Amino acid sequence: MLRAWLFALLIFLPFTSSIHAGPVEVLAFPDQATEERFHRLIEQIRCIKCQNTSIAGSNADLARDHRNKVFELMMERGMSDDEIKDWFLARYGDFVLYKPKVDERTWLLWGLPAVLIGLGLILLVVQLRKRSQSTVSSSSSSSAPVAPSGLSDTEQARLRTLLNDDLKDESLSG
Amino acid sequence: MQTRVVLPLLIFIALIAVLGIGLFNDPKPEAEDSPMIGKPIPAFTVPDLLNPDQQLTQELFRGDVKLLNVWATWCPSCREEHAVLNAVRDTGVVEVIGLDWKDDREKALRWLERLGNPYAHTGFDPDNKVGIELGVAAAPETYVIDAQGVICDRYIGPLTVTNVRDYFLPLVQSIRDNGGACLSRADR
Repeated sequence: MLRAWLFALLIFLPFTSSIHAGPVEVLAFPDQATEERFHRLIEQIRCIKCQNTSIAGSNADLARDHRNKVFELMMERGMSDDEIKDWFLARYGDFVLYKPKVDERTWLLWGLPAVLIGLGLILLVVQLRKRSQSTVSSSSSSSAPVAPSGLSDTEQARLRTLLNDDLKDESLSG
Repeated sequence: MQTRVVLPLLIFIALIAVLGIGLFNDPKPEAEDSPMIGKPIPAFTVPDLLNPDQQLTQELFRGDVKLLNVWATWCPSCREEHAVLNAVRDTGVVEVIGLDWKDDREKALRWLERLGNPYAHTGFDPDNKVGIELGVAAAPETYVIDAQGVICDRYIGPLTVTNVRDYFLPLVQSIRDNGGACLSRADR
């Protein structure tokens, strides 16, 4: 039993150390807030070479260059977060940011969820109204354009003539 | 009644199709996506690979259309395209400037000695100082830069006989015909 446990431990041992060993190198920050700002920023910038990883999460050589660049732009050139993002945007395009900026090309991307929710709400209201109307319509005939039977006036008229025709046919044949 | 069953099913199938396509699509940007296209090449100072005392700058890209080829000895596709670059040099149609990117000088020098040197000049950029300004994402990359130093196009991937003959050389010619200035993508 003990051997089995030791064996299991040995198998998982290599994974335990790598899980928490991030790829971020040692950079000297003046204070905690700056360091937190740096980490927030590198979470928002995509590793260009990777499938779907931020430069914070990638061990790629290029991601390291980009982390160092963020550090340099922050510390040496005193850029704001937006300026740093714009810096990468100007060189690598929209792909480099996880949240693309809102502009004439991306407004649809950003606006579509709101539009869809709006459409859904309108649809819901229309459906609810229809439903309440059909239950009330039998009592208030003036507001309902539909006759109690569910047929419009013209349809009613057509039904009458059809029925009359049938009656005539029957009388002829009979 | 039947549409109540069929419609959600159709929507479901459409959704699966869309997600499936998304799943198998490579989200990496296409070559033409570089926001640097249409902008002047960023100012740079980089040592010459062959003569480390000599500095190369963006002034290299003034006077005529040139190609800028980003390469490295660790990049297999660069080796693949090297013969094509040599052939471009031999035609003498257009000058190619090299940028040895994130590389080792000794290895790079040996590489050029062994495979031939197709470059008019080669900048040595081991720390990605110039590459990052250009938005280089991978090697090899080839930029077409007009006579005023404006980036006309960028291509990610190896040069081939086909794309040089059918795309790069005609583009170079069209820029020369236009007085050395980039044509906008729509006018090509």
